[in-house]
Amino acid sequence: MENGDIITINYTLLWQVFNMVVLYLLIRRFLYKPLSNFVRNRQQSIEENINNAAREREEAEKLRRDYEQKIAAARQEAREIVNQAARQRDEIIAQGKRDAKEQGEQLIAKAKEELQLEKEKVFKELKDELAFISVGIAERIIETKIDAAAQKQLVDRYLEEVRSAS
Amino acid sequence: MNGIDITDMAIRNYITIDGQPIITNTVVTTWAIMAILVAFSIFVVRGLKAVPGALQLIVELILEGVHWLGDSTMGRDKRYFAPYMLALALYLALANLTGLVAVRQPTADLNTTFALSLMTFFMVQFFGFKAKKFGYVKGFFQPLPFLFPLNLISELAQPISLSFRLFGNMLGSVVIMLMIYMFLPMLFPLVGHLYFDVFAGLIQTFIFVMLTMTYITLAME
Repeated sequence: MENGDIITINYTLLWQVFNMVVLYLLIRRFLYKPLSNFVRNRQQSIEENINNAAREREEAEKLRRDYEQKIAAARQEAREIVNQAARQRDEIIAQGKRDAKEQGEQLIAKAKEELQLEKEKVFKELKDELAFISVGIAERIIETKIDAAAQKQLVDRYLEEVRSAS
Repeated sequence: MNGIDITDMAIRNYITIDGQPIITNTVVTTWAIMAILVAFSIFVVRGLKAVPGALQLIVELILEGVHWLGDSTMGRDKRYFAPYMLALALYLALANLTGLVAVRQPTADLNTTFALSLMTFFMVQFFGFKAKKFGYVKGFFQPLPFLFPLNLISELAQPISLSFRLFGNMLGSVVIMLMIYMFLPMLFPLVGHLYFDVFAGLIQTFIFVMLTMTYITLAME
């Protein structure tokens, strides 16, 4: 080993050119390409992720709005159904009351009518009976030829008979 | 004096043939740096995770830094230069920092810096010609044809200034550090390393990469 000069140009120059070319190739092959590819891929995937996240958030937001609308619509519908049911209930009750009242009135009217008919029938029968009895009284009067007092007594008795008979 | 010799600032020749150095400590250190970089690259790339750890973050920061620098000086359409710029930046940064582990910086050897600036020079010529064809050649005769010699000199001065800037900085670092070790061996080397190796080394790395990008872009536009 010997000391050379401080400033000379010698074969080292060629070595260093060769070394630099080799180092360039090695660095490109082993560091630059894999590392820059890796960084680029990561950049792309991060960009993709961010875009995806934004899109998904938008979709989620849309879905949420949809659901909220649907829920609001469902609530509205439910309220309407309840209201309608209440209306129907009231109607049914009112109808029921009306029907009951009508039927009751009809029944009362019918009963009154029947009572009237019955009364008329009774009166008719009574009249018939009275006529028959009158005829009987007349026959008796004619038969016995009694005076006014006796006649009155007779009639009274007869009426008494009728009263107790009816 | 403390086992430190003034000849320590010279390059060591490990193998010489007919007095010509074939393998010097510059080359060996460069190989070591290359081996470390490749091993580190493989290690980092194997451990890549979607949620990065500290190491991965640092490496990604370096990559994004190179991308950012390239995008802002060369334009996004020239991203295909990024691997070379990354290799150049990593190599220069590590080479400039080897002073911290008592290894002579490979960049304090004119052969290294001149090799790198020659590569920049040829890249400038190649991509300039590729981008503009004969418009690039015509560019040497503009704005006036008789300015061709000046244009040519400025073009040839580029690799020389580029290489000597880095070389001078790093050789200066070697020399001054040696002097600090000789005369102020306590505590002062710490400050010296911090300034000459870490600060100047990283600044020079940045400048070299930046200028390489700028020269190529200027030639292509």
